[in-house]
Amino acid sequence: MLLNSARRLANLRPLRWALWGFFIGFVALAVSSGAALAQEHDPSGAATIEADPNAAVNFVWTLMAAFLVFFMQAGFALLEAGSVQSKSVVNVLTKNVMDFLMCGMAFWAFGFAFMFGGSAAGAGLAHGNDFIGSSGFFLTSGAYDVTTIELWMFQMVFAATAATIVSGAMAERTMINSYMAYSFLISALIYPIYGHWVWGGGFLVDLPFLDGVSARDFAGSGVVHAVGGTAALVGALMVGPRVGKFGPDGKPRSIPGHSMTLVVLGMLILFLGWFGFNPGSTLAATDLRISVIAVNTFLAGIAGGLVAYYIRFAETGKVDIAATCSGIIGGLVAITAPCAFVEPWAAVVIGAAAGPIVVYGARFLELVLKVDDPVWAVPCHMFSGLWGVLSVGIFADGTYLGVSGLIEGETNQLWAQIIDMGVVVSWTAVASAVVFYGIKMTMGLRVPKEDELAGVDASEHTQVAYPEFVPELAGASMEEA
Amino acid sequence: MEDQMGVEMIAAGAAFVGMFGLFVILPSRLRK
Repeated sequence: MLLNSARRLANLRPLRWALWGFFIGFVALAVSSGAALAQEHDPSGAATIEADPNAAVNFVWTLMAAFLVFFMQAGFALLEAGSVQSKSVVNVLTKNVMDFLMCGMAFWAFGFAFMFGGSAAGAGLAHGNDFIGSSGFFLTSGAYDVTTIELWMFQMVFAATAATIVSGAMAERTMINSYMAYSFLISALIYPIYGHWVWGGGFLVDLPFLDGVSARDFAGSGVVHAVGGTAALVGALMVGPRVGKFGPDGKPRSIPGHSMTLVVLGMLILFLGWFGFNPGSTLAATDLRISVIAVNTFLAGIAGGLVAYYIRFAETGKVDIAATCSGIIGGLVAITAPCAFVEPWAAVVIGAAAGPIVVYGARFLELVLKVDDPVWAVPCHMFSGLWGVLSVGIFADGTYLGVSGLIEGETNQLWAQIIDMGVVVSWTAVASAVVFYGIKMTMGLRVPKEDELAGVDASEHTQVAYPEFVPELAGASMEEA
Repeated sequence: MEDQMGVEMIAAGAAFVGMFGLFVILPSRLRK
């Protein structure tokens, strides 16, 4: 059996391409790493700590924040698993796991270099232009440095977050292989290239026609969430709605998720992770603005949840915990860009506004665009993310990094944010559409109808989430007992 | 310096081809 598997793999042309690619890559890496010794970099950290005694506390802060953001993968996995039917749980969990496996490899090899090359954010990141970075590949040579690698760790978990947002919107009807192909390409190209424009010294930094004002996105309402949300919208449009989501008259039907326990637990884990996401983006514990950022994050999250709760209560006369959770996520997404630049009262306003954006945004998607988004990824991440980017230009109070918005009488920042919104939607929508269309035409995007009705777990995986509910598996286990 | 950057770019390009084969094309061929 092992021999057969090996023969099958050896006869596959794509595997030979992959092996040749890796062989050439590693030979080139071995050649280039020798030259690293000639460059100024600090792989041990000794020089860094000598130059800056605060480096230790800042490193611990940033890495602990990165680990919290990594834990958000668990939140996304649970939230999405609870939001789908029990027959699709393994599928959505697999996507969440594979997202960060592939994202990690792609971000190590070239994603990080595309994003931060030219930013001078660390050693070995000197080269890049306004469009794309070109140094820091494989974290080798000059980028083999404690500061650069600390930045990589923090940014890699961000990239994994952007990639995993898409999986929920396309859940229950997408072929796993096609989704993986897309996930690799968003991590390798779509996310890092836009990220470079905002965070890596690209063309959205120092806009000359706005007196050098830069588009500001402190922790990623646009870079992470609007990118993931826009890609989710394109993916959901391209793959089409689940069977039975829309009736013959075109009216949407409710397809409830199978576990509110998982949804609530997932939301709470995400909420916790956000305290790494936003305050961690200072990259320094010595930047005491972290207290303001943490409180702003908390206030916006609860404000979004409360408003969503009351909107649904007023509409139905009953409590809707799923919408409340989505309101919280929307509030957290919205405050991610402005969290460092605004006062707590503004955080409440920004989060509260995200409540109706999420609830009515989800309705707009279903009723007008006829899009089936089982986890409300698009309203939570795209719509709220864009609102977050815009809100910097309105509410920034000028007390941090000199960023002032409309409330301080500054209009240039608002224009910079509007330009940023246009850029993120245009780039992500076009790039995602090209990728999804290519995948649809070559590999196919959607599982056959009979597989979808039986459940993608049964057709695409070797396990199901709840074997007791599958008569043949339950029968076997009973006999064994 | 420029030579080293060129080598890194070649390595990155090769790795992209490798990962494209591994993550995009290979799974479809393995699918039963």
